[in-house]
Amino acid sequence: MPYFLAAKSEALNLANRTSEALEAIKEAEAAVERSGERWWCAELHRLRAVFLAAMGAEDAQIVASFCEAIRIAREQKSVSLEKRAEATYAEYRRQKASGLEGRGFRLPLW
Amino acid sequence: MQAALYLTVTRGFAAPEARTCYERVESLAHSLNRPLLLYSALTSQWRYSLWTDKLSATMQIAERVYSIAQKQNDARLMMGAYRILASTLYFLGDFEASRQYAVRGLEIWRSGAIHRQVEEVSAPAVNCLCFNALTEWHFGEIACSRTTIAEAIPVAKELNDMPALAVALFFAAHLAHVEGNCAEVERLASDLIELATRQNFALGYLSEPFF
Repeated sequence: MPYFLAAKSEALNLANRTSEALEAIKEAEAAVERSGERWWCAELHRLRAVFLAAMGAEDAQIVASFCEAIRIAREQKSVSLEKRAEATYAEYRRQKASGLEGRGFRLPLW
Repeated sequence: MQAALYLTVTRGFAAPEARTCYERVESLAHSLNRPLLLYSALTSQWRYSLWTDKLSATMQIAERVYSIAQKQNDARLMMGAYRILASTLYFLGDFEASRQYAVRGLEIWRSGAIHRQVEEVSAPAVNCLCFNALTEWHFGEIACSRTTIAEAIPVAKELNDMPALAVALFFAAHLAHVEGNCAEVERLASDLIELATRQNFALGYLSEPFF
């Protein structure tokens, strides 16, 4: 279920419905809590960071989500998910340093 | 047991009618002292639990299946138990342990020790290939993952196991999706929907919204 909700959130974000995308992520996290299904957890945190950045949320919130995504991917030894989270975080920092945030962050869904 | 298997395939993995059948089979298997039947009943309960319960509860059933398989010292049961452990651990996010069990299941299958399958919803060998491919992807072994998942589809066809073919197509599409290969996702999803429609699988209803 969390995986399908993550896919739904990506689709909502692509349709410029980012706040609904974030809701889908919250729903996915609730499903993780209920079921213990943690295999796509790192991606849920990475996507939350992407959506928060697109909505212009606080930097601390965005960074915390990226860090959690990286931590979980490392804990689960998922090299692929760790690389994704690190690459997206690096792109976020690059755009922030370039002063692009005023136009809204555009980070890769993947 | 047959009724339960058909209910599972046509009404979905969480069909409550199927659970009633499995529980009845478990009690009969105990009273008749039929370990093979008990294995099948528990395997089916595991599948139901995977869709409806907390994974910690599912893991307990998986461990019971493994324990029965060990006691029987039967390669078919051991391969099935490894498949069950590999998938439960995968969904729990323990990719390393998942891979170990998937590989052990494949070792049994490749050794040629299995001449006849135990009645299952889908062939454990195909599931082991799928979970091996999924874990390879997580470990960054992308080329190996592609090779492994590509093997799962012809194996399912060779076994003439349509539910296993649906599983292989589903996970192949999932891997294509995580790699961002839209054309491949579309091709596999189309094959899966066609198969599910032709075979009247409930699996089609699960996968359609995803694709």
